[in-house]
Amino acid sequence: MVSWAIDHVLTVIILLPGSLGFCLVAIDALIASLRPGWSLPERVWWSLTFLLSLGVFALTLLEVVWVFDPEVFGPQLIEFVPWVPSAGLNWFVGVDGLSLVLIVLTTGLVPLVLVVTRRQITESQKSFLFCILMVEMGLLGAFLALDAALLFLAWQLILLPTFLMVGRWGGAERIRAARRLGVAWGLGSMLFLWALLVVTAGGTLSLYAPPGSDVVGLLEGGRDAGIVVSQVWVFLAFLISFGLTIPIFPMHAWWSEIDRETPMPLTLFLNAVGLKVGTYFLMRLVLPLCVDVIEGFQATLLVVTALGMAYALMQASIQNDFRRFVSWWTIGQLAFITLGVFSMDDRGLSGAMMTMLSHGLTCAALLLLFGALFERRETSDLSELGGLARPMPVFSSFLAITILSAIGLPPLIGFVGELMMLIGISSRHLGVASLTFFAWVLGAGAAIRFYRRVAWGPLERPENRGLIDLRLGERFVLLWVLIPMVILGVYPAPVLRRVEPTALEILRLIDERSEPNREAVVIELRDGDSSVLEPRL
Amino acid sequence: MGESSVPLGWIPALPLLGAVILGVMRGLLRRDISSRWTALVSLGAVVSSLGLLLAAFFELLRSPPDGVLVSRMGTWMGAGIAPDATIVDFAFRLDPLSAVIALLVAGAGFLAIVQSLGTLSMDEREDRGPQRFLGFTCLALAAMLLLVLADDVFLFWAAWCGLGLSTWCLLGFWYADEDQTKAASLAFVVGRIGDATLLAAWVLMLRAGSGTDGSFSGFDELQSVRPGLQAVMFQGAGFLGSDSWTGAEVVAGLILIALLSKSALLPFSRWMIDSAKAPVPALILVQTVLSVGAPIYLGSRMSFVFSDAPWVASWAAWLGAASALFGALMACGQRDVFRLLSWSTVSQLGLALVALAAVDEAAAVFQLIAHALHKGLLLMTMGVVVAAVGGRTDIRLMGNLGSRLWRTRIDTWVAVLSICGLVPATVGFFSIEQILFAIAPSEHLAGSMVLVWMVIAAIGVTAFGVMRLVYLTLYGESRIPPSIRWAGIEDPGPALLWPMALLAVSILVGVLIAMPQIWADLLFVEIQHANSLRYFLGLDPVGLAVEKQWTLVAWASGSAWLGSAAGVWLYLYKPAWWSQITQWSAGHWWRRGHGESRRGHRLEAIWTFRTGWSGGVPFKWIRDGAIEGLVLRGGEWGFRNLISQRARRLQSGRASQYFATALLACWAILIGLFWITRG
Repeated sequence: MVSWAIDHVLTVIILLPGSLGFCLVAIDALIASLRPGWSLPERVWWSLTFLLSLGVFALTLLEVVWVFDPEVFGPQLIEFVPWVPSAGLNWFVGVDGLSLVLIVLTTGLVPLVLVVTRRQITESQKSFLFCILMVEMGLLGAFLALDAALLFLAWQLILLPTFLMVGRWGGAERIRAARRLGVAWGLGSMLFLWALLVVTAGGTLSLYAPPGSDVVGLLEGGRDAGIVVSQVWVFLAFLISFGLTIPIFPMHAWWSEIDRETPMPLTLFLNAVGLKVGTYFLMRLVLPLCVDVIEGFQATLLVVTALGMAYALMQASIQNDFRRFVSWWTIGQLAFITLGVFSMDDRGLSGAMMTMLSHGLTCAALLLLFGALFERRETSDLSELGGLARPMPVFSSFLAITILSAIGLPPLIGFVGELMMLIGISSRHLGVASLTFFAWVLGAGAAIRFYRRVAWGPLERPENRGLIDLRLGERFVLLWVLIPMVILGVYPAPVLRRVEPTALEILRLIDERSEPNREAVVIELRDGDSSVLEPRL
Repeated sequence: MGESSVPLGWIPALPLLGAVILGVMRGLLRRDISSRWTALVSLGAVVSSLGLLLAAFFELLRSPPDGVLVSRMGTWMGAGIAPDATIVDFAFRLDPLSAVIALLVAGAGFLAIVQSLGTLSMDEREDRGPQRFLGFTCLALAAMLLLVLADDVFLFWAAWCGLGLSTWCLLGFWYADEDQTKAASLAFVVGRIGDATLLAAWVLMLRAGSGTDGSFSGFDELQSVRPGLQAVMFQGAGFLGSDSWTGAEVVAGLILIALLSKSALLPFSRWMIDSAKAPVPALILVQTVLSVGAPIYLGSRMSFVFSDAPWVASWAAWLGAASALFGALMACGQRDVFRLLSWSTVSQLGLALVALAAVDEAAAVFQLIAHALHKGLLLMTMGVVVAAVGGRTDIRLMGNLGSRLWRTRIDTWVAVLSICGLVPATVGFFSIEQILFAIAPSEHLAGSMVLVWMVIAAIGVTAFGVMRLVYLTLYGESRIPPSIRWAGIEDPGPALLWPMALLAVSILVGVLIAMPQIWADLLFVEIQHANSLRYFLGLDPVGLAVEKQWTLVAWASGSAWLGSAAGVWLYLYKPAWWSQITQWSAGHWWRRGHGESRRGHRLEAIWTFRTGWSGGVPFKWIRDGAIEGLVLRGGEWGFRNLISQRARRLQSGRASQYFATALLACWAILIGLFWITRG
């Protein structure tokens, strides 16, 4: 059993949260059927979930430290099991630098999400925990899947519990918010499914060649994504779908409204990790599959994204609400990450991966700080705050570190990714770079103004004078994200050593699939084995 | 180039360690360390760093001419797998330029810490004791030393960003003061503009370099990029001097913006003036080290870009000269001691920028040394004066304080003689001369003779303004509020007097490191390389004819003496006469157009010595109307109201509107894509 688990570590990591969720439900049902009116206490549910989340995180870290080989460019630790052979569906998972960063982030943040859940979700906590476990499983599945169908299923596993959580535990306007979320992500899912059907129509669902098979993977050289319809349509479907998921300009509008209504633990999870599924798919799928369109319209895409970044950060600078600031800040940062992706430069891609990690940490810290403040003050209105550095000095110090990391100041983690992305973008697109620099300065202004309004200035309101500083437990929770924020800023090499080969691998795939190279490979493949072009769906 | 036996990386690391210890104890653990331990940690960090620096400096002196010591302590960023990968190394270098500036920084840092211990230990506005402040000071020194010693352009950039952070921390030290926090935030955002342009400049050079020899990271390799930069062409807008720009011109322009923003020169001066309420040690650090040392070091290190881009160099020189003159004029109109000194700093930095534009690094570096010494001393003495009147900074509430603070008065006079350039025994005197010697023969600067006259005028106006400050604070009738006990005013203790005396002596002795050759020839017999700084930096002697040099000395001295005499005469000997004249002229002028208005009274009052105004109204219009109003506030209004507030309306919360917007945007992109395809 143990040796099987060691050999199938990724499967274990993906399935553990979901398995625990179903086990707990089953035990609860069993107890209820044996002794009506009895059930597992919420405390037990939470403790087991928390312990398991720590275990999954430890397992992920062990994998990073011991098993993952930074020298390998493509996916590794691959597990391939035919699942529904008639439909070409396989349990095909593997990890590369990009996935690794995101699964470490996901598993590392789940314990925090659970701590916040324990404090803030008072109603039907068990159901909420079950949904969180499902979302975690979905996220891990999405980040590790190497099969298009599996990837889609994992995504759906994220959407459904999220929809339920917003509708059940959200704020006053939760039904409206859930409806809007359902429409936005539902539309995105439909377009994603359609695009996947199109691109896989010519062959396998596997993104890479499965082990021991001579089948050419979906992302690998020689496969034309635009067999049935033009690649432009496929690209547009992907772009709108992931644009709604990320969300990026101009498909961002729904997010800040929904974010306000979302329960705090879910907001933390979504802002820090969930929304990065979109940028992950962009990097993993869209770049290699739609390389011709992206190359053709790269300038337009970059300009629109840079404008979106500037717009979002401008909006952030005028918000009077803590959570809305974080929402707009997130939109701006995700646009920045998207810029790094579309730069199609190895430094831009590595920087985007690093920024996904840094944004996850900074965003989590910001929301945790907000949660701590809201517990004491019960307002998110910035005009009600101000001068908190005096009653809450540790809170203000932590907020300062988080904000400074968010705007990319050395030696904090935000600096590394932003520097690499700026170099990557500037190296290839000077016009876009100038727009990005403008947005970047705007972001610094927004963040510093935000900090000034919260922590600095006179302590005018009497309600703020008696506020208690962060307690020891809260400090530990925050240090969970602040310590990696500092350590990985001072010494980012462990992460960069793992993501740079992946960035190069993506660029290699792009290069293979770009038009002149692809034609040559297609001919070669057709001469050798034409079976790869047969439709499977 | 040889490997240093001293681990150069530890020189910035030690102050950083001090900052971390003080910061973690204060910010995270909420433990106040005793004043003795605070002093021990901060001084220990800086003194040990200074010790290492001195050891490295002596090793550099023992090395052959043009020697450079390097030290590499591993890789910071980048795995280096890709062929064009960006690698950021912990690489350090010590050459003559970095050695001079690093020594100055460490020395100034030491004095700032001593000053903080003396003045902030009793301050209880936000904290008990100077622990937090000294943490910020150590952070600032670490950033500055890293910047000076970095031998990797991106490590340099990280330090440059770190300077912005430490400036923000220092200026926002009294965080409960709304104005002060706004000024600190403004300083940070303006600094961020410089961060962005500097990074853009590095990336452009990286691009130019990648076409020649792969990539670069050290400063030595920057020279190899020059041909590549000259070959790159950018389509220009025409109105800035050219229809197309070379890469060198664009890089020079970007570096110029970085210099202007960091050193608070026009049009970025506002942050330095607004931050005049910060603690005196913070002002000393910001105005003598952070906002001066970093730009001058960058400008000196990258001086070749100004050689390759003459019209950008001309812009730099004109902006520098304009800042010098404008800053000096504005200083004459201030009532607040530290706002006055801040404008004076703008003026002095403008002079340094002119020297940089003239590609005379020795003049610029000597201006940095002179400014650090005399402005540091003047800030310290004025800090004593302000403390004597209970923290009031309005010069209308001072007067005759010199009779009680006689030791401080001596130090003030040494600083004033140097700033005004009055006697050939102070660093300021020779610094001004060298700037003029640099500009006058400069062929690549447009209108170099006009620049010379602007600088000479700035010298005179500076002398007038500084004399006004001295006489309104230390001489004349006492205007101190009755609440302050006159007998209680006395010189500070030895903890402050010794650093001030040290600076005063340095102002006099510092002459020896950069005396122009003409003075050495006049005063001594057969002394070679009198300007040892120029020689140490490996620069050519001044190319201007001796007669012209003496002519410039005469004009500069004449201007300084004239300005000083006017100040003394107007404020000490003929206040009543001047008051009558100005009342008459001001009254007539205003009554003609505005009748007896409040502004009329104010104008009438401000022309008198009592209110401390000397003719700044037109300049106030320029500052408030043109610069602050149009550029800063107009820009802010544009962003915040026109764009953001309108944009906010798009976020109405109506789903229908959102989907309509999204659909419209999607269609727009779609149409755009097809249009481009068809095109």
